[in-house]
Amino acid sequence: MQFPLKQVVPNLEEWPLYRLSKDRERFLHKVIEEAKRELLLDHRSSASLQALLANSLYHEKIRLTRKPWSVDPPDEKKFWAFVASELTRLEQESAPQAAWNALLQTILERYGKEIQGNFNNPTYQFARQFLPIAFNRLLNASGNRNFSRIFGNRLGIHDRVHLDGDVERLRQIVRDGGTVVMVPTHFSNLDSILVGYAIDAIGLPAFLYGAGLNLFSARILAYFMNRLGAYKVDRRKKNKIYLQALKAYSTSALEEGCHSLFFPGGTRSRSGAIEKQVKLGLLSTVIEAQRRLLLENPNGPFQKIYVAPVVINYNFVLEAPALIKDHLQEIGRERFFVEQDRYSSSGRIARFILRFFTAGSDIRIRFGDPMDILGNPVDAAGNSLDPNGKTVPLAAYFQHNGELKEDAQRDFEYTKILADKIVHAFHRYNTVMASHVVAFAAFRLIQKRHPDLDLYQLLRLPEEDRSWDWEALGVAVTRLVAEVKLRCDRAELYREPVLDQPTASILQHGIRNLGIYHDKRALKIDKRSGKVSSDDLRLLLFYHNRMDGFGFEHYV
Amino acid sequence: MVSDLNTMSEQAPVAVIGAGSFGTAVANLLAENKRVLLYTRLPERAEQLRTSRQSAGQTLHDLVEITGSLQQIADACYLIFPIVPSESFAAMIGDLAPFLRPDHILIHGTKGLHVEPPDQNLSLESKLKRQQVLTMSELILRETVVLRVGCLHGPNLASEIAQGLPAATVIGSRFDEVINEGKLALRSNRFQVYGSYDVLGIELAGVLKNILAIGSGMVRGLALGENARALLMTRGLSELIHLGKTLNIDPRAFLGLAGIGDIIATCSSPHSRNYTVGFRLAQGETLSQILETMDEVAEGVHTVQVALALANAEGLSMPIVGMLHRILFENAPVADGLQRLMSYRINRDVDFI
Repeated sequence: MQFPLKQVVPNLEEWPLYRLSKDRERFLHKVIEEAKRELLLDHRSSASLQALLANSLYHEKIRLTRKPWSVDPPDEKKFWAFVASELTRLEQESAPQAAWNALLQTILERYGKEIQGNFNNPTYQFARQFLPIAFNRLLNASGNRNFSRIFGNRLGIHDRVHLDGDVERLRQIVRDGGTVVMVPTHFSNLDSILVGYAIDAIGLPAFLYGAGLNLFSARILAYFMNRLGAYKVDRRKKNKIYLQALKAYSTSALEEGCHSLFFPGGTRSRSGAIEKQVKLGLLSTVIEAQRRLLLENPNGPFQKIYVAPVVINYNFVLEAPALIKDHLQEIGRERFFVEQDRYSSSGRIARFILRFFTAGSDIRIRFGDPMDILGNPVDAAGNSLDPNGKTVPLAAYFQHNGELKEDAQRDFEYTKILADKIVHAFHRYNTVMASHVVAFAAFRLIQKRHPDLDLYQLLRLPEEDRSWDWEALGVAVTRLVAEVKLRCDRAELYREPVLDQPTASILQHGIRNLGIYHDKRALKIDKRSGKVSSDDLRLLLFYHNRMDGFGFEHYV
Repeated sequence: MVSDLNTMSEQAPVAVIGAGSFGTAVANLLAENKRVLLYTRLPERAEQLRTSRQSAGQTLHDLVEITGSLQQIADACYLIFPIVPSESFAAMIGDLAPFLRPDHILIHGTKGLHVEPPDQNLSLESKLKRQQVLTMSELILRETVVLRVGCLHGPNLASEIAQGLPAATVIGSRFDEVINEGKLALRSNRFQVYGSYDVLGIELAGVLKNILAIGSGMVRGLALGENARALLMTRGLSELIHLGKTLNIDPRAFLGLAGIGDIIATCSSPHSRNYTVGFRLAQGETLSQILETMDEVAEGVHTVQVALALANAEGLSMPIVGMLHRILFENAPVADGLQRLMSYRINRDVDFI
């Protein structure tokens, strides 16, 4: 397939995200009303509402003192001081319910505006100027080269980033008016940029995306964030009012047919393994939005939401050293000696991007088959199919004794079912790369060589113990590749084409590409001795983990 | 709750699939609250039930209607209780699946396991991975479009329920909706219904406990006394809980009605089929003789094989279950096997909580 593909919806004004950006005030109002409605359902009495407000104030005060960020608006302290005085005043005056509601409304308005975007933020303004330009570029196929324009054609992003999977299915769904929720695996801060590129390259309209507030501080990322239609997520804010506002934002956007991008893992995989479980918060908005769309018109046609899993495969994860450090700390607490994290600055990211596109190590992005909100497969016309291949009436999932009924506990369980299906798809649509196989084989061999050492002792092995015979590594890789091929034949996995070459080529290719730009190499070939050695077993562990969770350990 | 009662229309009947002794008992219980469709597969049997109004030794309630059509059941009822032996469960579900919709609720009452591939010869050394063993709710989820699934387990000896004696059960389901619906349909002044979100735990507790019923029957058959029977039940339960833990089951499931509750009932009652198998083995009959003369399946016999194969795959030692396996399938003398109970070197009493 020749990327980029022609835009599915050539008229920008028909893009749901475009409509939303044209209609910001109305949408914001809807989000606030929605969040308020949900919160008031849970907090019917003024006493309960008062507790909610006080609790949120408490969390915000802690955040203000303990975790202040430079991107925080200057009037934050003033605002929360105002909330505090209002709370006291309302309590003293034994104010009526309406007064408490009004205070909630004030807070929600502030959160809503912040989530939607703060115009005073210069970073955001910079990025926003790009928005129309980016949109215009996408209008004609010849101009559909934003990324190439930035990096220059000679850098050849289309050759470096491989897009696989049934892209035409996704395009057809969008063409037919379906709403797509894209759910990728999450290994790197680059993921959102890459998925943004991929969405662009397969000719889909822009996707709405909740990006961490910290990502907006790096200009280069901010450009892409906004190209993705990013709204802001502040992970420091964990109070119920804020979380409800976020959910309302996502639910309302989905209800209005806005294609959305979630990283269901929540944060980047610390261990380097594919997500074994995913977060339910944002996913629940998919179920909620679909249920509402069904309830709106119980007997007629309805706007359908499709979930499209995406698996990103890297030979090299920029942040690997910091991520595996976090992971080891998490699982081992204090036992592990930690180095400084130097990998997350904006300059580093920019340098990496340039390095990546100039010297290049392949990245593979695979689009899994789209499914409905309960993980059922869908046919070419977008109909959900049951295990017997029969069309499923989606509304029936929300029916009880013939009636469409709201049931929060049921929706919650449905969210968990969707989460399981996504985790399953992440493993199913994974593409095994040579570098992963080599890293897995090497780490397993060292584990087997020292069965009496625990993980932490293993990671501290002296240099002379961190080497492998070319032949021994070759034997292990051969066995692994054979198993990978078997599973590919059973349609349980995918593999990089290089895995079909002789073992020596796989080893060469794998070792060369594995963690290619790290200061320390996870694996390298010693020219004189012909032995393979590792500068950093933690990195090797990280890349080894990529093949964790598939039961491959029985084959080395 | 009141509004739920009202929305449960009197018109929609409830279905039971399988007219064995427990299926019939459940149908009669349900009939105290609503109209019931009771499905039986063979047309002759259906006809016989219709005319005699007798099923598995029980008189059918007036509100129980016999049917031989799964489609009729799926069309008329949204609440369905499949209660057929585990060996025919997959085939039944395969027949039912085409008629099911996502708004159906299925609460099964089958205390057995499905093995993939089916009809394997499981020996003392066989291994089964967890993915090869499906509980009935897992089978339903895999084969049908229905998500709102539950199970019905507990100390529910069909003969006692049929006599109108008081009893309680537990419905395991991830969905409040399923638990509530099951409660409303089943509850009466002689039948109490509890709920649990731990479907798998309830299912495995209910299934595995049959193993102990067989062992308990043996101890009785040999007249080894109540101390020995208590020993077998307690240490046996400990083995089952350990197996459950390796399969990520919360031990608490084994301590409720479906576990201990059911163990106490079936390990003491000659009305329990599994107990009867053990008892008759101890009296000198062979397994094939016993199974030939039983009207209904003793699920525990198969469960012994499956449980042991699961433990083997996990590298878990289960001396009591292994011993029962030898007695059941390798003609080991019952007395020798039970004697070995006394020779185990176990040094901790409760090590599973």
